[in-house]
Amino acid sequence: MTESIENILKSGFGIWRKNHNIALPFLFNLFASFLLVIIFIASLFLILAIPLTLDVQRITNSSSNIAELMDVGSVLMVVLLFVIFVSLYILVNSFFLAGAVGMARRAIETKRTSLNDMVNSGKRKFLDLFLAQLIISVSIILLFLFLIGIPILIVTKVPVIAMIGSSLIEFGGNLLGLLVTVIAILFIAVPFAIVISDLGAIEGLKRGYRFFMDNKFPVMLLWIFVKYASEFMGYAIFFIAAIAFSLGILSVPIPSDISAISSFALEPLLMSLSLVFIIAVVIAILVSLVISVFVVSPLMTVWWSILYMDRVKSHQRKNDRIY
Amino acid sequence: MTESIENILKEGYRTWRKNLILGVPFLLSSIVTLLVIFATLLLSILMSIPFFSQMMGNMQEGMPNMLLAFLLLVLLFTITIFLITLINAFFSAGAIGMAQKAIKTGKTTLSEMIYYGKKKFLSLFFAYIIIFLITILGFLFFIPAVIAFLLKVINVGISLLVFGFATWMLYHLALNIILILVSYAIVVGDLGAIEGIKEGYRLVMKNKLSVVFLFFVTQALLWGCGLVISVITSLMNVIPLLGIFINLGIWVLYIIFIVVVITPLFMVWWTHLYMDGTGMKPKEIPTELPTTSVQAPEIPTHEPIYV
Repeated sequence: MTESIENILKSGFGIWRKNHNIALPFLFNLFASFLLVIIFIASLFLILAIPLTLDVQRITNSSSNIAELMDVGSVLMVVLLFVIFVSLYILVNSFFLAGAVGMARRAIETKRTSLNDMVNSGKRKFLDLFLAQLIISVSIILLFLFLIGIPILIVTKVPVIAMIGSSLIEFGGNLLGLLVTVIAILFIAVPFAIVISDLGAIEGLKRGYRFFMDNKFPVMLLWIFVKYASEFMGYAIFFIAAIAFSLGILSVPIPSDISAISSFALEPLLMSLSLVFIIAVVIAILVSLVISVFVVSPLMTVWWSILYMDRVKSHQRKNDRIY
Repeated sequence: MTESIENILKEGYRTWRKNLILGVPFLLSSIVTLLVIFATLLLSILMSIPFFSQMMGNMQEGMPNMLLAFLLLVLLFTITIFLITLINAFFSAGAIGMAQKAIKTGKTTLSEMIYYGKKKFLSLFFAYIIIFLITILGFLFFIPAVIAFLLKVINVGISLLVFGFATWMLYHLALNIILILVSYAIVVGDLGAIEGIKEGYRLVMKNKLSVVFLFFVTQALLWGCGLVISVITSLMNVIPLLGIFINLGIWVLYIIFIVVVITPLFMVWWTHLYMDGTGMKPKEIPTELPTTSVQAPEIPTHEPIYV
């Protein structure tokens, strides 16, 4: 006795409509990530700029370029910084994702949820979720190094025809894309296994994988629906950007006779055109962020939580009936 | 809508597996279409030869003849397009009829294809033409932009062009989804062209979620196949010269695969959805219990219950 996908979609939609606060963890995550990026860029600047200012003598004496001034030490520092910030990003993301799943679960069970659920869930499970996400991220990075790094190494070290080299890299890229998609589907239930079933990182990974194996069809269907619904959302955003662009163009004075534009009138014209274009793109990015944070992410979380809880319950019921 | 998308997909797949002959109408349609195109190309080359030799001789005298040749070519291409649409209508009607029979009785044969093809190809053909005209209507969205350009108001023109393009894309997308059940309404529902279009529209509006879901699933399947093929072809590209020929072969096989395997499967799914939406499917005994939980009725008591 299981819920059909349509019912899951409908009830999930209803729950989301009554509990818009499920969007809050994703909003906080967005702000926190933004902050992290700014701090990362700032520290990058500090790391690279300080040795440069100290070596002012070297800069003025020789005509070497920046790349030569960056020795192995600073490159290692940059990589280390990058690793630290990516780990921090995944950590923050795990906290808010765990919080969101906890809120979704409470909303499904009791029709209402609050930020308390987010904090409780986040505090309890962020470490397990962080470890699980770290394991998956590291695996993907290893795959990347193997499938794309090795071809790049081959191309640069071994004298092969350029065409074969680029085809090898292209093949590596295609295969990587395919494998990452497969991994994403295989382990999509992991956050829900960790938070809702209260498991550790390794147990959560195993359980998430087993959940897919036991419920391949519903998982694929929901994944397909979410993927294409997001894509169509993208079309809507493109439409909004086009409208913004077309409205903005109205303010750009383009003379009726294109051939009569003098050379020095052309540059400000192109600049205002590019400005309108950039504004339209910025509007599109903002709208897509808003839709992603307030609609897509909470809906997705609720839908997957319902599917997970429903199938686990029916699985338990089946086992209870046997014994 | 009584059936869930999972059932439609599962049963549709089962029906298709037992009736792989459903690929035949699509294969025949492609082959006949290719033959017609080939014949047209040959004919157009043959027609142009006497005019070219005349053109070489005298430009001034050759002008009206060239115009005649051009008009004849346009006529030839229009006739070809009509012919191809007619052929497509015949085989599509046949295929949908076969699918309907397979869903109702479990088995189908090529004689159904001929029967339904002959019976419904004209209605389907007219529906195709009407749909084509409705699609062309979308170009009306560009008229404001054209007017603005003619009036020399360039910035308004560009603005209306971008807006018109975006609206045209949206119109096209919506039309694709709204008219998706028209062929099935015409063949399975035995309706005329206009009735079929109206019924197709009505059904899509009534079953938006199922239609959208099935649309997503078909797109996803095509995308998945494309992903696998691109991985294989990019691998073959690594092999220097032989790789290109292998890829050519892979592409041909892929196209045949799409025509003979994927397209009939999609068609069976849509036929299933149509028949389910209009209650034409032989109802099976549901193996799933309804999921709505019934609460025990509360009996209000004012006195203590004595057990």
